[in-house]
Amino acid sequence: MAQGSDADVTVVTPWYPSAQLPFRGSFVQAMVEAVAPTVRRLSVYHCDDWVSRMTPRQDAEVTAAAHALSGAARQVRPGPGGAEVVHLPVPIPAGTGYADNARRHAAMLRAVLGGTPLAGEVVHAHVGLPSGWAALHNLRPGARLFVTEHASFLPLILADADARARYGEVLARCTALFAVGDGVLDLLAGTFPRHADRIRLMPNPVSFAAGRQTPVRSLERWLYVGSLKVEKGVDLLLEAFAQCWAEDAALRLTLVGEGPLDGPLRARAAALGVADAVVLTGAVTPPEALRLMREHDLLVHNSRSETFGMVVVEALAAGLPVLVTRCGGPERTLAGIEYAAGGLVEVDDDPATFAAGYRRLRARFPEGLDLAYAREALAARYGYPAVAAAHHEAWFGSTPV
Amino acid sequence: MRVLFLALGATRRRAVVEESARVVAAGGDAVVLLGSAQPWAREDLDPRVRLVDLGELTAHTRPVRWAQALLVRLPRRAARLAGRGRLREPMGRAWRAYERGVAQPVHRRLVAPASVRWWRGPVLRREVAARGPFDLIVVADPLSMPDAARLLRHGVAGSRRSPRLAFVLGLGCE
Repeated sequence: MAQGSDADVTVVTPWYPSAQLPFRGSFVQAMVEAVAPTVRRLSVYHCDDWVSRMTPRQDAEVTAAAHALSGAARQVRPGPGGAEVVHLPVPIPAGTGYADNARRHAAMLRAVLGGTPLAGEVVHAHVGLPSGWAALHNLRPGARLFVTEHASFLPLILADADARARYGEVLARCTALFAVGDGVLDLLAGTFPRHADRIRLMPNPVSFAAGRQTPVRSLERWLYVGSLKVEKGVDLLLEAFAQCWAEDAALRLTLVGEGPLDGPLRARAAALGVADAVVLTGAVTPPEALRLMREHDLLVHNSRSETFGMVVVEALAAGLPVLVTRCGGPERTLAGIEYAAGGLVEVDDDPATFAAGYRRLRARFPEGLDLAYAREALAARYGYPAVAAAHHEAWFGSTPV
Repeated sequence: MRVLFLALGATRRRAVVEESARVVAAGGDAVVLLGSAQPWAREDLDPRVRLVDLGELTAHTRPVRWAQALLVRLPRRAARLAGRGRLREPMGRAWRAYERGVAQPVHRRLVAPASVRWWRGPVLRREVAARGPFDLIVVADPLSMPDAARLLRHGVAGSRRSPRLAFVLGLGCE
């Protein structure tokens, strides 16, 4: 077995930044950037769901055509850290279930590989379904499979009997499965108690390379980065902002992202009389999101549930304090540095709770915070070198040279 | 570089808008083949990108025009001729019932799928040959894949070498 820097590693993922969805999978790209320099060769297969309404006949035609085109249209592109990236569309009829989705991913991967197995002696899949299962069915003999699970909709996957059975197959045959937070770990260990010993924690890596030029001096410019959907509590966030704005008209809120609440949020901002204080940017690229973090004063997240809360770490890496809910991920991500980093608020459907959290934070700003300390502590946990070393240790039982 | 985007399904419009803009910004030519112009009405495509509405071109092919004549124009003319005087109102009702119950469903279920299935391919090949040669064809959504596969199989008329195919233009370092 090759060791570390002599090894070929293959990453299979359904999420990776693209022109269509520039945000999706930036954490996979970060993982690739962190670990690629530590191995001989790292290849990424981005198996991208291309969803469309199709009749069964169209579905059959499209799938056959996709397989036929996969060889001619396959392009290997340079990725971060010297990795190679192959973008691979997986045509998916709208409404396809999780299990069938995984089967389609496996078939498309097989088609693009021309029937040969994945080259890596270590294959690392992001999420158990579809990519873990697709990788499992394209492994070469002797190859070891690792999986990182960070799907926020994992409970829905495990609620489906067929999908749960396929997930069980992945867990039974993988070497290890990494959960990005305790919530994911507990759910998987509870669902598959026989394989609980294979499940362990592994955080997503975050770059701490670029900090902030000038320190935060006030908490006036709020920033939200994420999907504009109910599960993220962004509608309640707007209500809380309006309450705080009524006390301080200098406050501003920037909502970065897209989703079904885009229109309703604009309408509600107008109804609340805060339209001039609220900006919705739509989706932006990860570098643009980082630039916005350096230009704002406070990251605000009123999410109902998070597996990890990567954006919280990214904000602190950019020198931005945070005000976030105890929704599963952030309280663990910020364990031990909650007060240095900003503030945590209970998940509550009353926006007054979040507004009260802001007032408490403002009352102890800036002396009550220690952003440099929080940043340093997070870099030691989630920085590229730390997470790359943890992957290397798991894959090869040694630290990278 | 001359790039053709096959975007007949219109399900990945943002990618096509971004990537075609990048082609023209770099001094290249970008042609986008659409299945229908309607889903693109609100998209902010670079004005230098050329759009070709394949649905519109296919609707003007001889078989589709014949089908439309048989299904709509001839029955309408007959209804007008018959619907004079006291028969004007009942014939009007009958025509509307025919249009709703026969002409539109037959067009939707038979003529439209048949035009995509049988006549869009030749129109596509003709347009690609007329507007080419292209260095790269980007297959931009699932419903464009069967047409791309046929292009790959049959080649492009008048083109000595087949253009390269890709599913995405790429972002440089990814």
